[in-house]
Amino acid sequence: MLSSLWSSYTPESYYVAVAAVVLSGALSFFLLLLMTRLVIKLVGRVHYRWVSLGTLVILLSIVVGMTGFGGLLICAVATGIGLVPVLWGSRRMNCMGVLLLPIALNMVGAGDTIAGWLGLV
Amino acid sequence: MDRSLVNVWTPEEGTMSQCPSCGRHTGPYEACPYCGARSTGRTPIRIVKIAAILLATVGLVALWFAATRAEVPLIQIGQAGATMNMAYVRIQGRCTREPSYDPASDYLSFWLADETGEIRVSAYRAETREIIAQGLVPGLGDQVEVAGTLRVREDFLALTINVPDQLTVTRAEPVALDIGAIVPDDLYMRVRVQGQIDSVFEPYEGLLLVTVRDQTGEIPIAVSEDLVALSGETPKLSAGQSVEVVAAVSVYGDTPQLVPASLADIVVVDRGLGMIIEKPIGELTSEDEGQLATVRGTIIEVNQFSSGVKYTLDDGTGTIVVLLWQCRGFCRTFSRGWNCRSSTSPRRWMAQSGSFCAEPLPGRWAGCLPLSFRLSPAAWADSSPGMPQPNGTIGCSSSPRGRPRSSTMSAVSCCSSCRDCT
Repeated sequence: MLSSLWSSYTPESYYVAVAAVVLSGALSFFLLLLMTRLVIKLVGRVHYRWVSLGTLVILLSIVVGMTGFGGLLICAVATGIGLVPVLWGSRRMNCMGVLLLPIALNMVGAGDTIAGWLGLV
Repeated sequence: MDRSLVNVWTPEEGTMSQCPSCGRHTGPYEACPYCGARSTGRTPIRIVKIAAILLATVGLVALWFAATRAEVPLIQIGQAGATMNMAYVRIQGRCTREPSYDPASDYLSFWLADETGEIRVSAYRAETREIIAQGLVPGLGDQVEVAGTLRVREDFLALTINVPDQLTVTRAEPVALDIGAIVPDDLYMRVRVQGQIDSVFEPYEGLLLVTVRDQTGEIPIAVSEDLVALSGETPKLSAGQSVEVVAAVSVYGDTPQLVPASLADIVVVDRGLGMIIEKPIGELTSEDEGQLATVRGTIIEVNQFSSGVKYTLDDGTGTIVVLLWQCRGFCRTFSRGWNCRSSTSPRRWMAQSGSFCAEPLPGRWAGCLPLSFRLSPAAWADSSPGMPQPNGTIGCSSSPRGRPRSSTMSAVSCCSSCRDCT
């Protein structure tokens, strides 16, 4: 997902990226000790509904900003798919198929063929 | 249980996911898993369940319907940015480089350019085989429209063809031109020329330069190993053959050359093409400047100088001076019986049609010396009043009326360092 924004094309940039991940991971561990108490206080004061609404607004803003109205439609359908495991008691892991199936088909070289059958390319 | 507590819900009492009886979180369940109270006052969860299923299934069908009917977005090459990596897009442009093809891996690539940038288009294995089978391999200068998956790198753009049917190649009708009329400004223009193969030269492995000439000039035809591999045949071209070539104009440095889209575009014809018309010396005028000419005459005077030798020809209608630069070795070549041809510059290649019988250096050469030359502005400037004095090339042969070998070399190196003369 991040590759649409940034990819490492040289060993140097790859090492810099890995170093950044390691450094931020170490920092986050120590920040967690402090931030946990703050977040607990915040959750105690702010209703969980507002936290959820804020998250929803942020996510929709990102979707609209990056993909426009078409992305919003896809987001709506994805919401329906994402609700199925919650409401019907199935495993959320099955939703990973949206990623795993195309990747597996591409890796065996059948992705374009299947997409052709579906009339998508 | 007091059902009235269940049927009336207010925000002050809790959220919809909390049991109105015991106050515990019940999630999507209609009945509280702890106390068994039914949340009948909220939106029936069954409706939400069905709505989710409908949204997922109908939404997917609608998206599929829209996707199959949506046209692949057409973008300009310059618009492709980092956020478009892996996007499926359509691009229109001109093929600016000869396609590259590796038969071992079935990898095909070519470059497209529009006003905003340049991109490499690639195809692999099955797609490549289908593109070749359908004859969709673009040639230099062709207009191409192609859809594929974008690959955006920091300093490099690439597009991978997923469906060969989404590759459209529009090839312009060739324009019949004299070779001498082709200039660098004609870049990518598709032309049809006729002429005679002057030489076949392999500057390095993988490239064959076939020089074709007509009365107005000459031009190299670049035949790469990729073109040979795509055409599936080996070119059988040799000097002296008359050919008709349909190709796009390319530029090497500042020199135009032709790049055919297929070896089938180089057709060997039976009739003689590009032969130089023989003229009496007396009919040569300044209007013939820049043209190839053949004369037949007798050498009446030989003057060697530090940089070459002058031959004065006489055919009864007039005289003309043939100026050969760096020609001392040339004369030695004659006596050795080598096939050789020298030239004053690479731009002034001469043909060797026609001949005159003479003895350039008495006692050292006796035979028919094929000779032709191009009248050049410099030659006219150097000429004596009333006497054309063209620079030129001269062919030599060890046998009378023999055809000189089709090697091309500069006057400076001829007979001193080139393969044919040393």
